[in-house]
Amino acid sequence: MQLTVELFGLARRLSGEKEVAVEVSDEATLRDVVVALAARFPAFLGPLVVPGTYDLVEPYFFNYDGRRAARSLEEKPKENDRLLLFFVTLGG
Amino acid sequence: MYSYSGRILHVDLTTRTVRTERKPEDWYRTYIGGIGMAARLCWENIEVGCDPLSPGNPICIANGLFAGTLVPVGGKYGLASKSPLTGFIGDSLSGSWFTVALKRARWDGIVIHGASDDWVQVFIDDDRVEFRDASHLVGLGALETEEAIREELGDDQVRSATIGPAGENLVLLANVTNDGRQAGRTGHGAVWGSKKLKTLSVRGTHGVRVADPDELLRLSFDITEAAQGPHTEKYRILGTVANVLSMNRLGLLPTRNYQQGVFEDAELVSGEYMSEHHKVKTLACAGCPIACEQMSRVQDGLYAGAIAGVEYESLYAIGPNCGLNDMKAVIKAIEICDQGGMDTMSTGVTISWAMETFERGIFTKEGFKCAKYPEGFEPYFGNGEAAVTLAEMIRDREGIGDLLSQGTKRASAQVDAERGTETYKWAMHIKGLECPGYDVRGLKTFALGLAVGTRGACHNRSAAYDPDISGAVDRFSVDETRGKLASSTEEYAAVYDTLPLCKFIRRCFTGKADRAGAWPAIANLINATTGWDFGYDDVDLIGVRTHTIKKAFNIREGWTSKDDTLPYRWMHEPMKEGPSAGHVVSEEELAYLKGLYYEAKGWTKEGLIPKEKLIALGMDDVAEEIGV
Repeated sequence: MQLTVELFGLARRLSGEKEVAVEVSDEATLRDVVVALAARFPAFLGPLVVPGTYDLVEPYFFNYDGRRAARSLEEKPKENDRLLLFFVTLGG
Repeated sequence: MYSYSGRILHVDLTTRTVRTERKPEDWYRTYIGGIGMAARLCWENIEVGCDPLSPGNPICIANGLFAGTLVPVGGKYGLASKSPLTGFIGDSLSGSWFTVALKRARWDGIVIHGASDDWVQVFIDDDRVEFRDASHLVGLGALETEEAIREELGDDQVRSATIGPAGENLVLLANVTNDGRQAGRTGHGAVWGSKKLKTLSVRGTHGVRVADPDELLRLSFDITEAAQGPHTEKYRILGTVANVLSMNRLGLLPTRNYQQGVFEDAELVSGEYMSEHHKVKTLACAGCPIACEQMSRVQDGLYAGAIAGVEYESLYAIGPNCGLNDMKAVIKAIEICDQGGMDTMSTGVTISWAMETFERGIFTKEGFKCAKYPEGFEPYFGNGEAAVTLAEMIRDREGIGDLLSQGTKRASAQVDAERGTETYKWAMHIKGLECPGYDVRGLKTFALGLAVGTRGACHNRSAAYDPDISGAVDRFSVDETRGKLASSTEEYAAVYDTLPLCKFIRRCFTGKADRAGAWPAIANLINATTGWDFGYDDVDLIGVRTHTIKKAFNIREGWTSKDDTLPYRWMHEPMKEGPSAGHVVSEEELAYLKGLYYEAKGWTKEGLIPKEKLIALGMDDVAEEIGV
């Protein structure tokens, strides 16, 4: 299935893209999306994606179209989902 | 004691005398430093019920536990007084070298009483305190004043906290500046101006003793190393302005005085745009390995040469919230605020209220006459020059700037009283403090956090945005978990604000920002510094005590549950577009949430604090005065 991932902050800077289309299997989890992104943008490995586990470096996370944050990378997105890969910085 | 001197300096501007108060070690273990200690000093020294701009309202400064040590991001101090904007506790933090100088002068805190007849500068030279004429400094910008004092004293190691023209003019949006950083929010600059205190300067020449230097070096090295890694990269590369696009995408970016949560030109005022077109360098506070402040300059055009450190909160308030897509005007307006010594958030939100009031036909062009525009001007949303000019007019209290200098709460009340209008419906403040850069109609836990905030609408004191944004809860609805979440997250923030440590370090201990990830490491830092034996629970209690003393202060000043509310717009006008479309925080929802919050605190249904709870926290004298 195809998904769209909007990239923010470091993800946008490292990739040079505002959004990308990602092709994954129909049974794919969000972690599989991370794997696909890291394959396309190897610079993600380290600063944004933990090599080996393909966890997202805290505080980066996925959000579904600005409406709901993903609770876990084991969630399964749906065809044509629009995902945001981003973070929020508050405090100081 | 290690780190502490055990001494609080009391300065009386009326009599121009000083005295030293000695505090026992238990007092320090209870109130620590920063916001906790500053609030406690307010509790002990204020004349209850005083006018915030009267001599009875002291300026209370509390140093940081880690200031002057190797601990990274520990160079912060707390500043507290009764706020002229809210009438409740006004507590702020600022970072950098001023606090280090104060620690090296061996003062844990300063309380400045009374008021001077003439403009004065107070110079603390280790143990010696000098009252110096400041008449020649009046009118200088906040940053210019710091330089002038260093030149005057012939010592570039002297560090000053100072007010600019806004504070001198008793603008209620005025702040206090040191080392180019600001103790913002709640109108401290006006309190200083009411005392004719232009500047407080410090030269400290002593070292800072810690209990276990080797252990503290090891711990500090590890944190510093982690602070160079991925957990802080977002702060180092783009700074907090990276939030613009994230907030916009979530439909939370305040736009045109919070009428919208999505700004169509967000890309033009984004951190990415600023970094590419305006950023000249990053700056760091004393002892900070992160360096988040993005210094940005206007290279050409009407505002060529303007330069300012741009944070998200400044940018949202003066940019999208005033409908501006012109980064050059935004930078110029921030520069005016910084040099004038004004809070950018409150200034921006007050300007956006004036813009909406103009667009609704209540204000007219003629009402905006000033020396620069004798025929007046039209401050419609998106008019960058209007925002720049209004910032100048507020600073100088020129024309309509006099009205706006009182902030949105008072300005709207005055206009409504004089004209029979209802501008309060778009006056975006809580308890008189202008709202931060998040439209909480789509963040209902955070809405509660802001409503109950002791200093009003503050994103730094409540961290209740976290469960909403991280997806731990449904941000568009309410449920029985929210009271505990709002309580827990504000006490979490209070730990950092009391030590103080900059919250940007929170993921650098173990990679996890939660209590389990951070508290044991913070306990180790405290113990290596002081020789105490703090554990997880002791660290947690820091936040509880700090929040409690601030709440107690407010209760003593007449707080009631009715003060814990939200702006009319957030409760009655549904969001028009974006992911939060259709949502408000209804009065019923807020009442429900407040009840949950008071219950989570162990307070009464009216939000008052039981005596036994205060006594259990070691606040017997507070229990005697306000406990129920």
